[in-house]
Amino acid sequence: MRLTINVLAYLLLSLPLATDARSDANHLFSLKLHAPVAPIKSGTEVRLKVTVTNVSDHSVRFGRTPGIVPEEELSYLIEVRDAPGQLPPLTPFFQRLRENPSSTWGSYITYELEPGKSFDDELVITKLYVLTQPGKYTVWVARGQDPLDKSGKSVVKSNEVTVAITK
Amino acid sequence: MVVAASYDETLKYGAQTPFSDQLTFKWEGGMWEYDPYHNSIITAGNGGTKPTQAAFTIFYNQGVQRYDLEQTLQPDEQMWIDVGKLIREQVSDKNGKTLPSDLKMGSYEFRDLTNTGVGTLFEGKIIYDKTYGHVVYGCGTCCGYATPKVFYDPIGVPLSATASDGVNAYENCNRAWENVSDSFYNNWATGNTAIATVNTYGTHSGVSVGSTSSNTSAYLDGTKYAPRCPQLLFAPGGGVNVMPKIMFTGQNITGTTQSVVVGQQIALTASYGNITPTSQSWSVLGTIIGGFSTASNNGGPTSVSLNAQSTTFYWVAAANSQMVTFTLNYGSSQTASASATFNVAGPTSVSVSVSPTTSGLLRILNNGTTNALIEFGSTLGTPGVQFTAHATSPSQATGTYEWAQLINQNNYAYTIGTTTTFCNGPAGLDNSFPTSTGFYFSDSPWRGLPSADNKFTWTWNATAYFMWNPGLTNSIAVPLGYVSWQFFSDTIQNGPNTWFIQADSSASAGSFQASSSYIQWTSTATNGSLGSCQ
Repeated sequence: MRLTINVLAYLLLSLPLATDARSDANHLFSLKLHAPVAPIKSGTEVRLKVTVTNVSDHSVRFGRTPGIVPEEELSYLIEVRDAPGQLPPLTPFFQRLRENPSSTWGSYITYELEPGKSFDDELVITKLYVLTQPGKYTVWVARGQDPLDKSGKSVVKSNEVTVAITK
Repeated sequence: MVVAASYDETLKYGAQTPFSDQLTFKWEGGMWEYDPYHNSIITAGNGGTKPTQAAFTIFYNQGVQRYDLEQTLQPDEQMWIDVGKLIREQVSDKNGKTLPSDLKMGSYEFRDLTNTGVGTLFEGKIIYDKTYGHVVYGCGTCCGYATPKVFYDPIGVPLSATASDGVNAYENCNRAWENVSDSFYNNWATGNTAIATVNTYGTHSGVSVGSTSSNTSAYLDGTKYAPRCPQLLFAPGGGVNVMPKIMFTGQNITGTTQSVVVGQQIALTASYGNITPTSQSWSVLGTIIGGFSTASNNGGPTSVSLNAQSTTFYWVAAANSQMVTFTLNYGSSQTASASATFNVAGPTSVSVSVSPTTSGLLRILNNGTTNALIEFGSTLGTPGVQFTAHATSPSQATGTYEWAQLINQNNYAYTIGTTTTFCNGPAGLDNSFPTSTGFYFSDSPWRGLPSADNKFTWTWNATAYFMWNPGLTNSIAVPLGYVSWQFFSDTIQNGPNTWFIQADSSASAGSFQASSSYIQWTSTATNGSLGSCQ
């Protein structure tokens, strides 16, 4: 068994975050996390859409996973809390990434976002967290221009949304 | 003998000419003369029982120029053409043209404009010579038809559709084939009306797929025993093949040429009525596929089915005159077929430039920490590989330009102490299809550097495909070409979590290869997925 550091997951969990990036005029882009339109049945996939908008007056580059609307849960910091404010259980996949960091890889394309324009990413929350317990969960996410950049200088935090899980 | 006569006002001097003793639709006369000693009078009459429109034409200047008159002749009425008077008094023809005042000779022609197959005109001519008081009379040559033939033998008639036929006949004066279809109206018939019918005007209708014959009949002024032109009965005919129809977007396109683009869905259906086929097949010129699968574990072109009543396919390469033929076998070795032609357009002036790709773009991130990783290029700076494409879309569709990448090799090897372990990293489609859209594509792959290792190598080989999707209903992306690129990184840990890129690291990219070869994969390599050693 080969076990090494999972760089990306570690990087994302250690990102310094702006407390409210949307109000920070110095940020080049904003993140809007979309809440589910309806409660989600326990055991089904929780997939959230996040919209990245260039709020600056010039084009902004991003490193992105290939795809038109890629699944980017490993390129974002995803913070989930249940109603009492506790972290839900990690999935075996995410647990393995965190506790047994392994040699992983990635392929990032350069995406140039024009001023005022947006792109969408999808985040499969249930790929990282077990959300089978019915109840309400709060979720917010954050990302930088370059997911590999540890400095956190471009990291922006999203709004917070509530995900209702039903039996 | 019918005679035409003309006298001066004193009735002292006169001339007579016998008329021809037969009727026809066209007469060609020999030389007429006009000078101080000669004049010519040319006549024609209507020998029919109904009025007819007669055309008289004088040819002069070696037949290069003409002078045209037209006149309605009642039954038994004659028209007299005094050529000298026309020249002398500069009488305009129906086009306002006059004969040259110094014109001395030429030829002429009468034509029955009303009755084109069996004419009702007779004619005559006299030339009188004042020198000796002689009068010479003579008749023109009658013109007739020979060997009438139907336009098409066999004629192809699409099922439940129509096709028009007609008759051409050889005209002995012009020595050319002329359309005499109207003389054959009302007499058309087919050999088997269960297969095809035909109306008064030779318009055939396909009733069911099969073969039969059709013919018609009519009298024409013939050319038997020239210069006589007796009426002869002719019965031209030919085969009739009722063909299947090829339907495309709800239209019958049999025998037509369609304009389409690469990647456009071509859904064709053959229509052949109640025939029970023993077999049926399509043949298609050009490179075609049945579809393009983008499934994560089975991507690439799919095969096309060509042995059914319907077929759906896509052209991959642009080309004109791509013929599609449907062949139906039925009954006892009977065959019927139908064809259509497609002009297939696609992007032109396609090129892809590749930015310099060197090992100098390899870099260590977070060096000196346990989060160290190696990245080939930088997404925010200079990516490891960059492609910039140009292409001109066809007029039918702007479409979307797309990129897809196949990771051929993503292997790594790590050394702990003196033991080196070789691992196959995930290969296949790079994350998803398409990788990106637009004319620009870049990639900056990265991989973690385990702190437990003292040496780590990474071998990457990928092929980027440039594609175009016309964006039409059910259309697919088609390949325009590809670029292969690769790198090798050799890193050693020469201090605690401090990595160094060795000189044997390398990177390169090939040039763009225009190609209609598709990207194909049996697995997908997603970001974060593990290699064979985990």
